Amino acid sequence: MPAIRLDGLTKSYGKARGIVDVDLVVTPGEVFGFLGPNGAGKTTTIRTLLDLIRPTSGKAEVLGLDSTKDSLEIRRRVGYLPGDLALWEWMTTRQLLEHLGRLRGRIDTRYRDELLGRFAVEPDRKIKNLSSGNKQKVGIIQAFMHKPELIILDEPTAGLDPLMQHATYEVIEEARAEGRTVFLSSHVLPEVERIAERVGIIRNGRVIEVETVENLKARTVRQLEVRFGAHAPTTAALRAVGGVTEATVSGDSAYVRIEGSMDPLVKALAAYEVRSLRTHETPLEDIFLAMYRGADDAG
Amino acid sequence: MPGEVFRRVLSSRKRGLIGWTVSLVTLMFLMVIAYPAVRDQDMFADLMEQYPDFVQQIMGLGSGLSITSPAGYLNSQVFANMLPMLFLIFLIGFAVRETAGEERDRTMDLLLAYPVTRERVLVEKLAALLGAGLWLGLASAATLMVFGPLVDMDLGIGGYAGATLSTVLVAWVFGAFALALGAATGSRAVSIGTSSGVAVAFYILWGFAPLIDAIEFTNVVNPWYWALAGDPIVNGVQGMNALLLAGITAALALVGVWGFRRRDLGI
Repeated sequence: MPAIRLDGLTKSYGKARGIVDVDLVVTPGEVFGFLGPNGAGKTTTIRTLLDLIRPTSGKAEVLGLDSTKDSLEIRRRVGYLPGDLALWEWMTTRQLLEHLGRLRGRIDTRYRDELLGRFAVEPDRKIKNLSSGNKQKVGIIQAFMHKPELIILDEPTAGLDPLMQHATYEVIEEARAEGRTVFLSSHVLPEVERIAERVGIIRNGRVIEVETVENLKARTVRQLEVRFGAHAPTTAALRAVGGVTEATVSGDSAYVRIEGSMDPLVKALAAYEVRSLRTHETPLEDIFLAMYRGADDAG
Repeated sequence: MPGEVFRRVLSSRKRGLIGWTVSLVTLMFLMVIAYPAVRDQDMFADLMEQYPDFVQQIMGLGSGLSITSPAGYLNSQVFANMLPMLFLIFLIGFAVRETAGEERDRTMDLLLAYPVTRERVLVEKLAALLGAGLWLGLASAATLMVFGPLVDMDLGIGGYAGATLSTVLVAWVFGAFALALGAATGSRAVSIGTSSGVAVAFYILWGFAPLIDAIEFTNVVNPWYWALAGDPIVNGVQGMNALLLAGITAALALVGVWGFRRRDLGI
């Protein structure tokens, strides 16, 4: 039984927003990254899983339960971090977490207290006096504290400093190691690459790709800037190298875009004197373009 | 744990409730010490009689109470207008903040991602609202009962209970109406605007109904009429009327639950 199964899930709002015909299966025990630019429909999909909004058509199953009919049971077994987190500002962190714990009935507070320590959250300060990063940490703690079977995180590391991002990845990794499932959305590829095993890519409300991170990396587009010594290769020579989709040479430097493995390019460059080589992080949009091209090729 | 939402709502309103309680106790105390000035001036009674019937009606003197009597004084100055209006302001604000307000603040998103049904959330919030209304009523009545004897003002336990319960019930009805609207629409503007507009409209209708035959039928659906019919300040709690208003409160809350369950939560 999948942890999450979306079957033709559609949510229409007036014109542009919403999701169309989303099919997705998340396997128990995996960390699944839901990747897409802002406004692509990630939050809409996630809020449907929790019955905060109802599908226009199609079906969502969480832990084998229907997202509308069995929502209470789903919410009992899931932890959720909203994308645009809001907490009761007048409470202290401790009061908030105790209140939320009691909404679940009785929970083991040991893991909660351990997380408070690991995220260095001062539990007796009022939420309204916390920075947005600290509020986010409280949001992460409440999603994990009862050790749910499935943890749904909408943009978990937004606003966190690198140290706390790392702490979040650790907690996610621990959950995975214990066989629990994590479904997280993100608009940054490196994050998903780092922690997820599989990725679903959503754009304009449609899931355009579901792929393992390994395969995705193989198709990743990289941009390189190369500065050569005495001779630079010709544009044509660079374009002829396997995987290169674009190359321009001007003077002693070249700009190259390459998909997949770097190996053919590195071997080709070895014939020249390379003074410097810089790679740029690939903008997500470029990956989507590559995806679309991939889809076109297949069709 | 049952009552968890109820407890959080009340503790978040603790400061507001304390402030309102202090203000109401002060106000009721001032009403008490102002009474001798009215009681000893027959001029006031004459003056009131010269007012148009509409004014006498909305001052709670429609059934011939004299403003110089304790019941007439308290009805005209407190129970037929000022106190229910104050309670309405408090309870409508309360209801809207706890429904559409909490949704706009987005804390509703987190709350409803926990294993609590929407009906439970709304019922617990309704219970907090009713409790807050009752508390304000009790605090006001207690002040009058404690200080009234200083100026020979005493309605007796039945009179105080009748007048206070009526005030609280009217505020409950419109508070529940605001709660239902806020839950069913998610709009603070719709909820505040409609509930306070309808409350004031019914108040004006209640004032004119005895004078204009054409609108007298509206009394049948007018909470103000059922709250004040039978002069509870003189005759004590009017059981059937009170039950009717409590029933309307419950029915409005049910409509709110129905509307809240069937819709998407906003972000």
